[in-house]
This record gives sequence, structure tokens and C-alpha cells, in this order.
Amino acid sequence: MSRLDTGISLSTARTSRTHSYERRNSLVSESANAREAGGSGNHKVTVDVKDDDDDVQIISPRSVAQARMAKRNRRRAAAPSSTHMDLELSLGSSAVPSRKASTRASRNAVIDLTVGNDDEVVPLALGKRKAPQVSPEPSKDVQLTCAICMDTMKEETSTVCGHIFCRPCILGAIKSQKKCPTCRRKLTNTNIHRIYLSSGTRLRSVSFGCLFKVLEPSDATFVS
Amino acid sequence: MSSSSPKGLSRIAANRLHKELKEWQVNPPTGFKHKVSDNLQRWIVEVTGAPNTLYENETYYLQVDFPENYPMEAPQVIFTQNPPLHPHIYSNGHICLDILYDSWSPAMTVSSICISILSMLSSSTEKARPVDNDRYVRNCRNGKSPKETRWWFHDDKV
Ligand SMILES: [Zn+2]
Ligand SMILES: [Zn+2]
Repeated sequence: MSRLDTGISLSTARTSRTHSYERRNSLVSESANAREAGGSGNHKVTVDVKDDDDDVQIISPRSVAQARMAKRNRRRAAAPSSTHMDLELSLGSSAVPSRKASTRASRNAVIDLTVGNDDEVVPLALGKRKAPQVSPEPSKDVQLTCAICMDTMKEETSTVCGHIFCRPCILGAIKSQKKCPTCRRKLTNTNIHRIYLSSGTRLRSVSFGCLFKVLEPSDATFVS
Repeated sequence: MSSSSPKGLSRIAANRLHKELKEWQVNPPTGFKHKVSDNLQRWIVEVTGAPNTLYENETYYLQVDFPENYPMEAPQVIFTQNPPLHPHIYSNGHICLDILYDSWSPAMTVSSICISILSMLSSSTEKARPVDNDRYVRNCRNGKSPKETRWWFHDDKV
């Protein structure tokens, strides 16, 4: 019997399972692993990335949930001044507007899609009264956890199969195994691309009126 | 145990193991206990056989040794002391389980390995050694690591 060269010959080994030692539980373990990878922390954002080489769509259920929450809170708290909306669209951050809420804004609203710098919030030209400053937490960037280092994602990088890791982590994984750690797809260094989820690229502040479709968090599209 | 002398953990490996340990302390896999020690590179994990299985209430010990470049490389996982009688577990503690070798992925964790091992135990229908146990153990006599074994894995679904 010869030595096993570490994992690199995986696919051959798996397709040529021939005799002696049986293989068990790999399904169980994979799903267990998926659970580990995806659900190890209850505060983590789940990111679902479509399998598309050029356009990566990020859907954050947490943002949607927050949008619902924000809507509810807004209705309760800011009811008297509902003509004012100071909204911020960002993944994983607080105060995400909902489409429903938008229709309640005054019809003179303007939409400002400029990307502001970090501390600039474009004021709303909606009504006469000043809106109570809905002061969202200083916006945090998307906090994703890398399944390889289990740390906060650094230099988010997507594989062609749509799995996101730190750039150094996925490069290391490709070097040692030549496959995706999550789905085992064969990968080379050219099968990955950097994606940008940070505050620099997000829509900083939006005012809107009935004419405009407001981006739901799930509509946000990131093009690498 | 590995015949090559163990190198220390890389910074990346140590960081990740700290995270795994922390996560384990909050949310250990059912049926497993990590024996507290200062040695981050070798974990001793106590396994208790699941209820209503052949190994109900039996206690076994896993020794998990992490390579320098964990998690890019799989840890070495073996049963110590008296390994359970199981068609995929050799009397020297080596475990025939693909995720420990060819099918390892850096997205797996000690916790997910443990879950797989327990489910392997739980699904057993007979307490017996693998048919080629003696030949295999003889082959490993000079302290070979199971990671040096060339394993073949049947697909149990077939
Ligand atoms: Zn990472
Ligand atoms: Zn993948």
C-alpha cells in the first residue's frame, strides 16, 4: 500500500472506490458540516449567492428581517412624522427601509442615489418639518464569517460556485486541495474573484417618492 | 501516531483552533466531552455511545492531533485505549472514515468530525472488527499514522 498524497487525488480516489474499507456517513457528515459552517453562530448573516460567474447576487435574510422590524418600529415610533424618511440602504446594517414604508412618504420626495461618504447623510427634501433623526448605529459593514478560518471575512472572495471565503483562505484551500471547501467543486486560482461588500460601495442614503421603486435589500446586486 | 515529528501549529491553525474550542464550549456536539488541557494541538475527546444503539452508554476516547497547517490538512483522529468494536474501526484505533482522509474539507471542524463518528457508531448493526483487521494492524505496527494509509471507501448507498 502506498502513501496517500494529501487529498489532492480526491476525485480519483472517490470515483475509484473499489474494495476493502467501506465508506460511511459521508452524507451525514456533509450535512452536519453544512450545519456547522452555516449555523455555528446565531448572529451571523446568511448569504446566499447565486451561481453566476459575473453577477453575484447577495440576499441577506437578516436584512429582510430587519427591514420588517424597522417597518414595525417606524410605524410605532415615527408615526406623527411619517412624511419624513431618512433611509439608509445597506446590507446587514440597521434601519433598512421597506417598500411599504416608502409609499407612505410624501409625493414630493426626491431620490438621491449618490454614494455619499461615510459620515454624510443626504438630507431629505420631503416636508417642512424636520424628521426626527433616526440615528442608525454607525453603519457596520457586512459581517460574514469565513468557514475556513472561522474569523470575520477578510478580502471577501467568491468562488465560481458562489461560496465566499477570505482571499488568503480560499487560496490556501485551492493550493492544498484544488476544490471548494463547501461544495467540493474543482477549483483553480482563476476560479475565484474578489467581491466588495464594504461601505465604500453601498448606497449611502436615499430619499424617495411614489415614483420610485425602492431597492429592497434583496434587490441589491453586487458586480465584481 | 504519526511517525513524523509534529511541528507546532501555524498562527492560522492556532487561531482557528481557539475559535473551534470556544464554539465547542458554547455548543458541544451531543455525546462528546473535550478533556480540558493546555495542549491546543492534541485534543482528547470523550465519546458516549448514543441511546438505543449497540454502544449505548459505553465510553470511548478519541485523540485528535492537528497538523501545522490545519485546517488545510485534516487532523489525525484515532480511538485510544479500547477502541469500539466496529466494522470500520481497527483494533489499533484507526478509523476508516473518508472525511478524515481524502474527503476532508477545511470547512469541516472537530465538531463535525465527532458528529460523523458518532453517526458511524450509531448506524452499526454488529460489533465486530473489520475483516482485514489483523493484516492492517500488522502493517501499521511501526506507529504509522492512519493518514499514511491508502484507504478505499465503499459507497454504502450502493
Ligand atoms: Zn478566512
Ligand atoms: Zn463551492
